Amino acid sequence: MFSEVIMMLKILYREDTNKIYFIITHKNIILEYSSKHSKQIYNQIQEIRNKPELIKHTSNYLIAKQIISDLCLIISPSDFFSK
Amino acid sequence: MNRKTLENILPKIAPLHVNISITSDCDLRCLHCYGSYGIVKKKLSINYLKKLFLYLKNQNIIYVTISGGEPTLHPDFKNIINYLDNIELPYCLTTNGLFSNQLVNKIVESKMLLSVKVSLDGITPLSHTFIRDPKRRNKIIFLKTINTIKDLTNKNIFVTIGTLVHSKNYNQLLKFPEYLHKLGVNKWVIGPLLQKGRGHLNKTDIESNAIFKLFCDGFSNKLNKLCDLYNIDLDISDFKRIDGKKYVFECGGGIHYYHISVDKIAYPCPLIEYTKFKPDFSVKLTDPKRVIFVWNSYQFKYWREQQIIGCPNCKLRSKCGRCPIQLDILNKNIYDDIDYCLVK
Repeated sequence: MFSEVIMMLKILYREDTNKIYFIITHKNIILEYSSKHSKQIYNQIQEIRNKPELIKHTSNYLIAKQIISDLCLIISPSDFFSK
Repeated sequence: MNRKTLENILPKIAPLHVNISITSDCDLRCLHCYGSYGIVKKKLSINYLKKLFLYLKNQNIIYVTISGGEPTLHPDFKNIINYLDNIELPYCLTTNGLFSNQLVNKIVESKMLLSVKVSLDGITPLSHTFIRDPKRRNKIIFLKTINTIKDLTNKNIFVTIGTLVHSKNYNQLLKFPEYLHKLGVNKWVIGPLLQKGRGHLNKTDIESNAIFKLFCDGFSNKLNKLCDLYNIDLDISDFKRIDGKKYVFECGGGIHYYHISVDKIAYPCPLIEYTKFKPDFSVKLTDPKRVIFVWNSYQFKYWREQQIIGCPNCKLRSKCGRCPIQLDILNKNIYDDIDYCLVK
């Protein structure tokens, strides 16, 4: 018997490509995000992931929230916030 | 892709992913195997692999591909995937699908598994075992492979099928998309014979001129349409070189990934070790820590120069695919009359 399959979302920032990578295991999905402020947006996404109740009014926060909202079209919000 | 575009997308510090051959052991003796795997049983030790994976993870490698031989025959295979789960390094697995239900279960439960690539060379026992089990033609091998694919797709694991086009399956290719769709497969990669190792020895049994004629005649378009219909992502890039439009194709070898062999040697492309270019483009990795320096070693820089710029003095470089490996594995050289061509 199979036990419940656990997929995972891994978020990675690479300084040499200045890109954020969203890796969704079991589904073979690797998404890339790139902008001048990739690093700051990556940090913001990680902060929201650790503190879902966080609310800010900065542009990086709004971009991060939009990215998370797009991601949640592919995975469930609980998969996004679980680590 | 032009030089400027390539340089812009090139990762500067480390590749995006790494392909690792963890063992040369294999339970099949496929007629087409370019590595002639299964005869000599070498493996990378679990301690070596753990260090390697950790260094790669610390370099922010996106994922590793675990291949062989048949990787599930590595005596520490379960420990290897446990370790990848523990350090959270995603991986793809390349396999012949001939492993126990217990191991299928273990693989499915692995949280860092990205996808599994399974070799399937026919939609009937005869066409699959023609090259996979040439002596016995045991249909159990076909049935077991199919069961493994079903077990994986039933658990929503992304499955890619790899198919070698040979003389006993080329006339079945149009039936593959529907069959793969019923199995729940997501992606299909098809390729021609590579004339190295057992592939070279058995080429007269495996190859057929009909295959080359087939792909010169708009056949790729028909396959593409069928795969679209059945929602299967088709990768036919290995055949681009014989459809008359382009002789070699651009791949990511040394540009966004590299390969580590079971002999602890890094190559920009997995095929280099079977060609005469092995000494020019190899970096020894006896100490796994050296994996940090591979990407910017002079051998890899030389490789990228060849791939991006080509030979500086050659008047034909705009027409050349700049990949000597692909020409070597086909035993052909379109520039035979050029004295200084690297391929010669």
